[in-house]
Amino acid sequence: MTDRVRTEAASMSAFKTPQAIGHVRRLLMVGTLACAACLTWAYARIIAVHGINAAEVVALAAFFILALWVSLPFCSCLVGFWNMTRRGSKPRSTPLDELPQTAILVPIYNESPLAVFSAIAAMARSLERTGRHPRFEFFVLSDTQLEDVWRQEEAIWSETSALMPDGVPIYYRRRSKNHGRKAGNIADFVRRWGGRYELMIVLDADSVMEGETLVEMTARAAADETIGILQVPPKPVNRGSLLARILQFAADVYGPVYLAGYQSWTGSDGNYFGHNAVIRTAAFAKHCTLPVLPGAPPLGGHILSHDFVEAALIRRAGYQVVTADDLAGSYEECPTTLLDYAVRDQRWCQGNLQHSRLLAVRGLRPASRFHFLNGVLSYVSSVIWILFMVAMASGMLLERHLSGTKLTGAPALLFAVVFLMLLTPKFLSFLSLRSDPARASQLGGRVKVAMSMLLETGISILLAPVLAYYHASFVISATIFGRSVQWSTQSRDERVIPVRELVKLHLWQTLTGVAILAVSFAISPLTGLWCLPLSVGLMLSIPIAYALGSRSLGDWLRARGLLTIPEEIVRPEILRLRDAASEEISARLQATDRTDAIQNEADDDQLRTRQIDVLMPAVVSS
Amino acid sequence: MDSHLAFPKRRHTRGTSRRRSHGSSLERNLRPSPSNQHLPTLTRMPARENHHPFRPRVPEPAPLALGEPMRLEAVSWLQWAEQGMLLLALSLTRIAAR
Repeated sequence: MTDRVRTEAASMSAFKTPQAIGHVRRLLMVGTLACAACLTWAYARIIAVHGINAAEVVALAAFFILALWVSLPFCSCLVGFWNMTRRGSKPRSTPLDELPQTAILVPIYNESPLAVFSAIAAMARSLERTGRHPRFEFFVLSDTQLEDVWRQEEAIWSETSALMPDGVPIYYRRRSKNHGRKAGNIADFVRRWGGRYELMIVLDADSVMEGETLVEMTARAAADETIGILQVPPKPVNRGSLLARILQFAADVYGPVYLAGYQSWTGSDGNYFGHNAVIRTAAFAKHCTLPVLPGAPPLGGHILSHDFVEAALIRRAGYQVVTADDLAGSYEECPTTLLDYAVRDQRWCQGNLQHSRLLAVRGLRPASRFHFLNGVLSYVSSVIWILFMVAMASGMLLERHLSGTKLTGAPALLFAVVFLMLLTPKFLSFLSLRSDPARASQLGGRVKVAMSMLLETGISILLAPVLAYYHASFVISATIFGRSVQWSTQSRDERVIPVRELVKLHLWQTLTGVAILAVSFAISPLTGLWCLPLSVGLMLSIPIAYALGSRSLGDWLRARGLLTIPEEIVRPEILRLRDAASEEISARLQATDRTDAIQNEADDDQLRTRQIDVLMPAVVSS
Repeated sequence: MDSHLAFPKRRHTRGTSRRRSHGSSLERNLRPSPSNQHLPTLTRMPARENHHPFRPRVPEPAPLALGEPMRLEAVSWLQWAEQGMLLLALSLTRIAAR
C-alpha cells in the first residue's frame, strides 16, 4: 500500500521532531546532573565541617546516586509540564479504508476465567459498534496449569463464543507446559499463527479496551509501516480498596505530567509495558526472539520482564516504539492489597535485575539502555538508600558528634529542598488542573483534589520505608542469596487478608522499625526525630497494610468524594459492557447447571497462601 | 445445552493440599482415570484442537518463522571509551564552532 509511509507520530507532545527531542534530552541530562551536583555539594559541605571519614565518603557516593534518582523525575516533570502548556490539540483519527487482519491476544495463567472472558465479550461488542469488527479475531492463549481453572476456562469459552458478534471469532488454545512463561506463550502464537495477522494487539488478563481505541491504534500502526510497537498507556480502574484508590488516583492526577515528560524525551524510543499495545507481527517474529540468559535464575534463565527487551530489540531493528498519549479507553486493574502489590513487585524486581545483564549488549540504542538502567535503579535505589542511612549514621558515630549540632540549619534546608523536589510533580499536576476545569470537576473539584493529594502524600510517606524494605529484600535475596521468584498467579480480585497473615508478613518490618527508633533515640533525641519517617512507617506496617487492603475504608473515602477518579462518577461504556457480559455468562452457566465454573472463595485462600509462601523467603532471608 | 461440554462439579479443595500430578499435563489428560473418564473427548484430548464438532478452537496454522535469538555479545569497554571520546570531541567541536 503506497499510503503506508513513515508519518509524524500522532501524539499531543509539543516535541515531535528528532531535533526537538534531542534538545530535550540534552536539557534533561544537563538539568539532572546539575541538580544532583548541587545537592551533593550541599551535603558534602555539611559533613565536611569536622572532616570527612570513610563512612561519610560512602554516604556521599550513595547520596549522589540518590540525588540523580530524585533529580531526574523532577526535571522530567518540569519539562512535561512545559510540554503540556505548549502542546497542540488531540490528533485526528487516522483515516484508513481497510484495516489489516489483527489478532487480539489475551495470554492467561490461572486467572479468573469469568473476568477474562467477560472483558473479551465486552470488547467484541464495543468493536461491533465501530463497524470495523470483522478485521479482528480474539485469541485466548491459556498457560493455565490448574486443572479446575482450565475446566472453567473451557466452559466459559464455550458460553462466550455464543455471545460474540457475527464475524468476530474467539479462539482458545492451551499449552500443557508454560515454557518461557508469557513471552513463550506469545512466541508460540506467533510461530503457529503469526503469518495470518499483520498486527497483533497484546492484552493482559485484566486489560479491557474500548472498540474505538482498538480500531484507532490498529489504524495508526497500519498507516505507518515503521511503527513496530504502539503502546496505549493503560489506566488503572475498577478497584475499591484504599491502596487501589491511591494507585488509581495517582495515575489519574499525576500520570499526565509524568507521561508528558516521558513523551518529551522518548519520541520513537519509547517503551513497551507488556500489554495494551499493538505490535507489527512479522517484525516482532524476526527481531524479538528472546535469549535464555546464561546461568541459573534469578539472574539467568528465561527473561521474566520481556517487554523492555522486546521494545529494545524491535527498536534496534529500526522500527519505532511509540506511545499514544492521546488515546483514552485503555484500562487495567491494579493490586488491591499490599501483599498483591509486593508479589507483583517481586516479579518485576527480578525481571528488571536481569536487564542489568543486557545493558552493554551490542547494537542497542542509548535510550533502550537507559530504559533498562531506569528499571534496575527502581529497585536498587532502595538498597542504596539503606546503604546511605547506615553510612551516614556510622559516619556520625565515628565522629562522635552525636549532640545533633549537624542536624539543624543547613541539613534541615537540604532536607526541605529534596522534599520539595519530590513533591514538585504533585504541585505541577495540581497546577495543570487549573487550566483544565472540566477535568478538575470530573475529579470532584479542586478542593477535593487537594485534600485527596494530601491524604495520598501522607500515606505514601508512611508506605515508602515499607516498600523500600521489600525492594531491598528482593534485591538482596536475588543477588546475594540467589533466590528465584516463583511464578505465582496474580490475584485480580478484591479480597481481605486476615490479620494473622498480615502479622506473619510484616513482623520483621515492625521489629526493624522498633530497632531503628530505639537506636536513633539512643544516639540523640534529634536523630530519633529525624528518623521518625523511617521508623514509624515500618513500626506501623501491620495496621498500614490492613488499612490499605480495606474495601470499607475505600468506600468511606469514596462516599466523601476523596481519592475518586472520573471513571467512578461516569462509568465508561466498556466497563458497563463488561459487567453486562459477566452477568450474561453467569446466567448461561447457571441455566446449564455449570455454576462450578465461577471461582469461589476456596481458590482465593489457596492463592493467598501460595503468595505468602513465595514472598516470605525473600523478606526473611535478607 | 452443549452436551459435549458437560463439565463435572469442581472438587472442594478448601483445607487440602492440591493433589500432586504424575507425568505431563497432556499425559494426564489422555490417561483415563476416575476423574476424567466421564469428560468429553474434547477435554481429554487437547492436542486435537481442530476436531471440535461445531466450532474451531484455533484457525488453520499460518506459521511465521522466528528470528535468531538476541545475541549477548557485549560492547567492549574500549568501544565504550571510543564512543565517549567521539561524543566529547563532537560536542567540543560544536561548541567551538559557535
